[in-house]
Amino acid sequence: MGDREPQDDDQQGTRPHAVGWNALSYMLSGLLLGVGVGWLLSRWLGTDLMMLVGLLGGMSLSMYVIWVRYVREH
Amino acid sequence: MRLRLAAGEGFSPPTTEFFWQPLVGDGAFAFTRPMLLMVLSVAVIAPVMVFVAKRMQVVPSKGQFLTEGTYNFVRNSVGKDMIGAKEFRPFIPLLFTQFLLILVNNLFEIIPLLQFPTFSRIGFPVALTLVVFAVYHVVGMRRHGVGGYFKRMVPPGVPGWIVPLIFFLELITYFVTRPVTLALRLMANMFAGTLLLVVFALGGEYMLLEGSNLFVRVASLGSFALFVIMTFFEILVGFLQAYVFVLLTAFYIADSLAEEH
Amino acid sequence: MTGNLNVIGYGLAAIGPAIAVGLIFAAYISGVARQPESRGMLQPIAILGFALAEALALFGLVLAFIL
Repeated sequence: MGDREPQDDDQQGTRPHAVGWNALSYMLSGLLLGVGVGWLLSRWLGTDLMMLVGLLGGMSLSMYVIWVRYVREH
Repeated sequence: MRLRLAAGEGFSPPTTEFFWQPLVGDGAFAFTRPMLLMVLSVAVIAPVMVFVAKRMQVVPSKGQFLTEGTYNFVRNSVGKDMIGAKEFRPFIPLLFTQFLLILVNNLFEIIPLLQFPTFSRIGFPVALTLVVFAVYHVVGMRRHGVGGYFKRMVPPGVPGWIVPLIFFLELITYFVTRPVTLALRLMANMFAGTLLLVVFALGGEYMLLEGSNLFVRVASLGSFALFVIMTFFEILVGFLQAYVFVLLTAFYIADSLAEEH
Repeated sequence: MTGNLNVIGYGLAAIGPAIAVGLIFAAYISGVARQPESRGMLQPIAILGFALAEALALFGLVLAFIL
């Protein structure tokens, strides 16, 4: 384990691992948000369809955030 | 939909009740086996670390070499890589302490007589996670101010109408999913691994002692072999989970410290 | 033995994303091993692919709960 100095622009060796787990956190958040909003909407409107819409919407939102945070910068 | 299967005659597989092992007392204030193991782990780690630190030599002994290797691993591959060479120093004690504590407690899973991973009871990982939770929020709020901390959760350069949605998503991520997954991942890994070991051990024992014919009794060897293989696998899992826990701790701290991306 | 069939269904459904995540990171690792300088380009793609595969597993999780 040498005292190697990582360059500033270099993507460090352990980062993808942590980013991967963090992406999972984002997906779960999108799921919670989407299902939560969908559940409220479907109670309000009286249809179960909103649940599915919320699920898909929440997932798309978290995919978008992952794209913005970890893909667009590169 | 409910499913009902006939259980094998006589053999009852271990259930989650295996993990409730009170030693003194019962109920909410019982002193349990994992509590004893946690005390034991601290009683082992602290003197060893103090002893090694007091007797530092230029030419390291075996113990010093091992300790320095572990310390350098946490310091360089986790702290320095994730948080960055400028600001990682204040967090090394936290990361190293967490790593050692989790590692030793995970290895208790396969040490004979102890054989119980402390972190398979959800309370222990939750306590560790609360520390991490407080650290990364406080560090972030100190750096950016409370308002700035919430403001920077939304990445720049996204269309205006989507900003509130992203803000809620990030809020849930920072305050719910990150700590919950951190605690749950550690607990679930140790829990599942231990249950697997217990199933193979008890299943093998049952087949050997109660088997109806010679074939079943010989087949118990397979169960015991898997028990041994899984034991080695659990050593790997113990290391890996300790590593992942400190890695994510460092990642969350780095994320709170980072300037606007 | 009593249990819930949905759990078995989710267990089966999780096999697909599990293999997918394995394949994605295997490809990422071998790509970086061959060309270390391509890491910056491969990592975002790997993360996005991982998120896509993970989405399938989470859909399964939700369906296991609500069906």
